[in-house]
Amino acid sequence: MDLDRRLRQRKKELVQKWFHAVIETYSADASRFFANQKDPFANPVGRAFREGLSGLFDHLINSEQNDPRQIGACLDPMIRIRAVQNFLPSQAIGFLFDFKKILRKDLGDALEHPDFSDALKRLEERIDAFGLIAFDVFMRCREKIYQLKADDLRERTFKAFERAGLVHDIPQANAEKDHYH
Amino acid sequence: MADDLLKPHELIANIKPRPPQTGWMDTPVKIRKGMYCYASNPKSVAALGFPNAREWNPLDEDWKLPPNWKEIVFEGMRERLDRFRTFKVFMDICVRCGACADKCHFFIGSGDPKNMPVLRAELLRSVYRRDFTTAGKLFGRLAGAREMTLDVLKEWWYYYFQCTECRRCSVFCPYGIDTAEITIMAREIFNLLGLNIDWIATPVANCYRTGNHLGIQPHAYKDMIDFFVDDIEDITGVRLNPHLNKKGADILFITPSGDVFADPGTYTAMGYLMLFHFLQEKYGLEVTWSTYASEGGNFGFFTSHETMKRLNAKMYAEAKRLGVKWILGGECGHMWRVIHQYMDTMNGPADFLEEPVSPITGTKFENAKSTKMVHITEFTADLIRHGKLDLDPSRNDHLVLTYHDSCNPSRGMGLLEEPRYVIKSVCNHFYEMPPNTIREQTFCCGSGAGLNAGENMELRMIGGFPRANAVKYVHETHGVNMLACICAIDRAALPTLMEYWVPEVNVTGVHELVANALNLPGQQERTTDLRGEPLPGMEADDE
Amino acid sequence: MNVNYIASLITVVVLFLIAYVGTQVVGLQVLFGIVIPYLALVVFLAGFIARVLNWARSPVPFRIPTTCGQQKSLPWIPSATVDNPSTTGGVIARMAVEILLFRSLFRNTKARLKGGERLSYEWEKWLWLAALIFHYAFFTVIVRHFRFFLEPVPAPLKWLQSVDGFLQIGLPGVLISGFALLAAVIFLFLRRVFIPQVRYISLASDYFPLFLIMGIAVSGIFMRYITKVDVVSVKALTMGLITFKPVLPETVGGLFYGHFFLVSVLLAYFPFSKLMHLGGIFMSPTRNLANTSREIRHINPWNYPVKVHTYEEYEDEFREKMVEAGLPVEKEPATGTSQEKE
Repeated sequence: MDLDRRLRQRKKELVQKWFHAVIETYSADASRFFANQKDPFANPVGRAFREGLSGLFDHLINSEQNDPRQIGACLDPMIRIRAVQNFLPSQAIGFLFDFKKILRKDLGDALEHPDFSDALKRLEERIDAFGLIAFDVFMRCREKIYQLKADDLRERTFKAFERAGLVHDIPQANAEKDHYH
Repeated sequence: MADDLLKPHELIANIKPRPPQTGWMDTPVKIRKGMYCYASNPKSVAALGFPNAREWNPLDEDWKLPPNWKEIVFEGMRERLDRFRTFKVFMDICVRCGACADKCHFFIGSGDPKNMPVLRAELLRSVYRRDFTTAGKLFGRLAGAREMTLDVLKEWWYYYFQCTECRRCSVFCPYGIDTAEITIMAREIFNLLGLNIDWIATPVANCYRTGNHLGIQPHAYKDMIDFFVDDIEDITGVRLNPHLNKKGADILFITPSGDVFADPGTYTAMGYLMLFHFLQEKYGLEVTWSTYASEGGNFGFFTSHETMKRLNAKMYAEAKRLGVKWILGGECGHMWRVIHQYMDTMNGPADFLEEPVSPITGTKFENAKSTKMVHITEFTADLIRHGKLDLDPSRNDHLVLTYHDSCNPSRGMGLLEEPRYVIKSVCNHFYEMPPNTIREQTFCCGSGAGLNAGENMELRMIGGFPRANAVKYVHETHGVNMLACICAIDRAALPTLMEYWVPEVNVTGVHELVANALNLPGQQERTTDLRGEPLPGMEADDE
Repeated sequence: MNVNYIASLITVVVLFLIAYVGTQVVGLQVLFGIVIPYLALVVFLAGFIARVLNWARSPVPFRIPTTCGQQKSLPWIPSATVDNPSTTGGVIARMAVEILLFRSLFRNTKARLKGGERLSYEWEKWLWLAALIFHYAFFTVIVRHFRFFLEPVPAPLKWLQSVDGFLQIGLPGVLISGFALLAAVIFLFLRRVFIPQVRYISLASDYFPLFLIMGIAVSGIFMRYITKVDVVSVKALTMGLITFKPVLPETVGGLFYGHFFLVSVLLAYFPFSKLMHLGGIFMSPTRNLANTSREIRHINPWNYPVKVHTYEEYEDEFREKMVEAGLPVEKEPATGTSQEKE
């Protein structure tokens, strides 16, 4: 039996464990809600991780899948949420590497098998690579946040004034807001 | 968040950042960047005659409070308990059943337990119990009572500025406990200590002086309207002649200044102008705008009942000065909560106005006969129902719409069908979001109640996530590309929210859609919509 | 382990033991059978009334119902007459549905995505169901106990008892309400303990009444089915209390006094606790007002004049600019610029 087949068979359990590892990073009160509220609209965070991790798992074990854009697209909904929650960057993407531990624990004694250990090494390298992509996605989300901060109301207001050819009138209105930095 | 990087050994310890498992009373507040709004500018605080105007920073240890601040808080609570039965009853009767816990968009997005409405209210209730109830005085912690301290005050400030007063929790509460009401009281108490946020205090100061939140002076307001007239002429070939501050007009029209000064609300404002022009040409109805009452929105509502009243007084005063018959109100959320549930009581009776009747259809707006102010979607729905508008909905065929119920019109008024009727009459492609995210269960944009600043972007994105998630669903299943709403804060906040979560979806006001479909008498063939985007089948004309 | 429910549990056990020991060892039957019940009733009635009057003393300055459906506006749009009432009848209906059927708790709809993006809805109403069973069982139990205070027992009470005992098993016949009450109260307790977010918000004052009611139910069930309390003596005692000619029959045991004391504690505790939601639900302005805010002027008794920025002040500040922009003004500018108008 090769690692690939074994992982495919164990997908449901592994993704479930991974999901709980992610959910554990929230407070006890919230994690129960994120995990148990199955309504995707009442619990969009839970939905994103449930669906996202399952897709990510498929990408991970598919050694043909090396397109960072597709992998990034799969990571995006999850990272996008963690990028605006109260996490440090390390914590925001750390859940990816949790999968290594989950995997090793799940394989148990089978790890000793030479076939397995080689395949496992390759898989762990893939996890590392995914981690780097996750970092890109995280930065993209953060940059978006900073851009939105910069753009917000002032920019839109400015645009409307600009369209109206009223830009010279703006300092008066804006002077009030200049203490924002 | 990125600037408090951990050292390597801390990092390892923090790989599993399981939050502390301490009880909520023992978990002190940590004010985080991106989750709070900047402190108010002392100039704005002073301009309104509020106490304790000074520079201060929420991140500082010292908030520069008056030395007797505890007494001020106590007296502030006592006074409000005596004035508001809501406050008193809501302090006493919560059984902590937890029905509201997972109904708040901020909790759903952040998972922060203090964003559960029940706990947000307990922050204040715990102090109430100690200071105002026998059980709390006798049994302390066991009765859920705790002492007022600076940490408690900071916790209040942080979390009562993470509530958008949307009232969603109140829908699910078996006793109708309304967190908005508790947040309003907390914010009133903050104002007694000079603890407002600038995103609220400065618009309020502006509005007081210039009539609108942005501090736009009358001539600039007129310039902006003139610009809309030019733009509409380019698009339709029809020159409008709108009225400003006109005495003797039939109706006074008041809308949030955001519609006049910020995209995409400006297109909604153009929509109003085109509708009024059509009604004047066809039926001789005269509608005037006002530069004095140039703000429908009321950030005073997020400050205190008194400030709300001070700002709102302009509406009736201007209607009286201009001698109109009644008032028509534009698309706005909290503006309508104030008009519907507060205005007549605060600044009425409006006995100098007539009971509103649509002169075109003869419809009596019975539901507005005392306040004498009609919502524009009530007015337009009635016109469409009677076939009084000449509409070509195909000009909105490039749009696949969904509709976001704004919190206040849905839960503080019940304005649900009117905007839907208008949208369905002027657009051919409309899809609802899932039922537990619309109507009285609608999710907030995450930026209401004065929280649509730039510096708290993370909070806004988290709070708006449940809404965005439902939009994403209809985008993916029905190809929805436009989100309609009847709120100026929505029009300011949702484009940002969409840009982060569902960038393929734009935001529009309902009357922009009406104007796209409305045939003006004498118009040229329309090749673009109000945004200058080519209409379906018209793209070729550009080339 | 959680200090909140441990402390509550211990308190209830101690209370029971106080009454048991107090009557069986110390011989304080007069205290627990006569004095405390009278006191508790007085505290309950006076406290309840005082609390309600205290609420009523604060006015309702604004008409702010939470609207949960379509408003009444244009005649051709059907309005939600109960969830967003516009008439007194509608408000009564809304309150009735809220109080009798717990309408708001019933609102929890839960969507689920099934394969692909297809939506389906599920029933998720355990809190609603448990709360409903709890309150109705409690109500039935209370009404059922009226037979101890009425002689002769009125017919409707007998009917109630026969409905309650429809299972017709055991002797004395099993009454559903007592067990339903116990089951529901245990469910509500377990829910508080096992759902982290509910445990997090729970105070000792949430557990205490649950244990108190549990204690009352358990001691009641014991008396009825196991120790088979001497009902005739109990009735003699209760009838004595109600007719103000108290008697203390010898054959009434410690279990009864424990039960009776817990009930007394519940009564006395009631006005000072969250249990006052019984009265409060009637007073909640977001539920008990019609959504006629624009139709009928609501009066705020403390409405006071405020400082406003008048049109005159506004025009004085901006007059020149307004004239320049061609906006009509009330007063022409003093000098110079007047010819610019028109």
